Amino acid sequence: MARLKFLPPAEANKILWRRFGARTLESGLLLLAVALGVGATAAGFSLLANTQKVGAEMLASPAYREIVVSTQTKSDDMSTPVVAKPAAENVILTASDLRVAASVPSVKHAYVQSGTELRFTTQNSIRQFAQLRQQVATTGVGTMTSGGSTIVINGPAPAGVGEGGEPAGQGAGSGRQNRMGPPGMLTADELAKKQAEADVFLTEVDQLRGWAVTPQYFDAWGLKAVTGSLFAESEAQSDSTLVVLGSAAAVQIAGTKTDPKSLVGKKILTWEGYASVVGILGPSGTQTIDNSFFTPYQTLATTGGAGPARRMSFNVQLRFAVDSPGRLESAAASLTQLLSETYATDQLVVSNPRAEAQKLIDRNTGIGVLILFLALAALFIASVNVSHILMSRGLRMRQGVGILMALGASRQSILGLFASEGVFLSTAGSLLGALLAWPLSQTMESALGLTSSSVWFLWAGVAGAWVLNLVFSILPAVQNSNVPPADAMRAA
Amino acid sequence: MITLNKLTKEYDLVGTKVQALKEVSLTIHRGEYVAVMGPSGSGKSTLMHLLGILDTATSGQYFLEDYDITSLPDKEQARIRNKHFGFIFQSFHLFAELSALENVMLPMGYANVPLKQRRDRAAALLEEVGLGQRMAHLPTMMSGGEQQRVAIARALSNDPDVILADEPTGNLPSDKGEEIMKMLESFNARGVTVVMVTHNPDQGRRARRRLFIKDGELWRDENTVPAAPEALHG
Repeated sequence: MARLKFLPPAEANKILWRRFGARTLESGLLLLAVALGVGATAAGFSLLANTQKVGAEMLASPAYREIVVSTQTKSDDMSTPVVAKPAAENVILTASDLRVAASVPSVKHAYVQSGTELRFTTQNSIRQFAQLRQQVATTGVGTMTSGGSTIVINGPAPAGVGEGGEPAGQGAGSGRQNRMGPPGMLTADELAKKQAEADVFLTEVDQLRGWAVTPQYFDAWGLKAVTGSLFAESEAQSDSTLVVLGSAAAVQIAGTKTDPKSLVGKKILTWEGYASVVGILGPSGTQTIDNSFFTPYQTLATTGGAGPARRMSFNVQLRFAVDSPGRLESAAASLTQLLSETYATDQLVVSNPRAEAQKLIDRNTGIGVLILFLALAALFIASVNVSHILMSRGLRMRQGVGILMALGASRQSILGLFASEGVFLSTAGSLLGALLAWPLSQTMESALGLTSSSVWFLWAGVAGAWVLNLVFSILPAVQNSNVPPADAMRAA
Repeated sequence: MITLNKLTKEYDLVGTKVQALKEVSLTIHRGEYVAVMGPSGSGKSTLMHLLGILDTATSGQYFLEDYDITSLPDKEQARIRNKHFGFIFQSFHLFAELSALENVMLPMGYANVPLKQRRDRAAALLEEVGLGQRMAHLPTMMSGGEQQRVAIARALSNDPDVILADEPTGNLPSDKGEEIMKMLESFNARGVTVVMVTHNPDQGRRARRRLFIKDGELWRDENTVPAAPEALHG
């Protein structure tokens, strides 16, 4: 096979590689030094780059172009039901508080957002309801736990209660006021009847978390319904519960046998009544949106009677989306001033999530820069050591270089000979370093809370570190080959 | 075939110029057997280095077969060394990492001779120098005389026009040295030009021409046998 002219012949390569192999410990330590330097640098670069990437993605979200106003409440319990009237010392923010947005020009959208959830009537819950009825019939009280909350139903159980738990002497069609438990707590027979209704859908999902929002929420987040429609302000006051489903939530509720799009126009049976699906959103790329449902935010309603089929929490947030991140500070100041006309300053919290996020990003960036700097220092030290050892190996072989030149080797060929050792050390060490870098970067990124990271940054770091180390590894080859043959011969 | 025209070599040592060779002019014909002699530091090794294009002259001209090779680029010089010259050194200068066979194959590798061909030729050369049974041996497993014979085989591997031998028997006992001298004479008899540096007057007398170098100058050029290499070797 013809030899490429800049490559040395096989016999010359054997000289070098047999010498390399004869110094196993030294060669092994060199490889390890390169691997550690490259691995640390690649991990550090990946950490810094991913921090920037995740930070940029985070700040691009509409959530970080908003001012959030919420109450100073001791309760962080999202599942505590709304009470009829707030205590005097408690502040409940309402949609009417959004009016202050009109006085702040930089606010583009203003909406209310409050966490909520739906508990669906399923075959599983029907079984639980039957057990509950049995308990009440037997002991006079029954408890049932679902989704982290507990239902307690007290008797007294009337005499002669049947297995279905219906009070004796009362036939079918007994009034709702005599009904045990929430409206969706059906018997098996009742469930069968509902299943036969064309516009009723029974899901096998036990519960779903979501948000009660005012319609401007969808504008602020750029969300559109791909099937059906969104709800309007007027629909917020209706008796029935309207829901718009996130794309993934629709798939979850529909199950494997039903097309999610067919849910639009259907009523899904929940423990508290029906939830009517008016629309399904397109994929937003945000998990908390795609996996959630959205229902019109209503002011507090009384319990008992045909209330909304959802449970609200105290934790109502007013969100004001501004047109530009640079105007968040001024918008926050303006909103604080305007709201102080209605509420005492210690009753409200006006927060700028972007500022908090930026502090976190800056902190993580600082940590990333420090780690990368230390890693580069390690790589530099390793590279200098490699360079030094390869230089000394070349010096020890100087007379051999002279002999090779006497036998017909050109300086280019000698350069290729020595460079091959450097290229091998750099490349093998870098590949080993890539293996070390992966778990190291995962550990560091996990510690900084980076949940999504790109492996391409890691490979870019490996490539950059390889190039740097390669330069140091090849420099000795350049120096060792740049010697006149006679001078090399005299090195004996 | 080799013509030197006022070849000079100067070294710059800490600001002082040292003339190792001063305007040496000579011609070496094909097939000659030349001994280069002189005291230590006279410039013999410098002359050999310049002849073998291992060093570059400060001034003057060097013609090889009427071709001025004085200031050729490095690649071209390497090619000429590989093709036209074979070197034999006092300390043998074999590579300890390579076997006898691999040492002899090395120059042919730089000449881009295919692997099988160079292996076969190397084996034949080692047979010729009497080391057919030691091909796989490393130099460290051989005596000085055997190593020098490997070096001779290596010098002949590309069928060179000129053998440059720098004190080829300097590190050998006299009987082994005699073997080496006879080999050189036999190769010369086949038409290879031999230029040998030696301190040994007896060895010098075996050459048909003796060049005496003193203080960097060609002090004397003696022909012990009338030199007609073209008539003898065609």
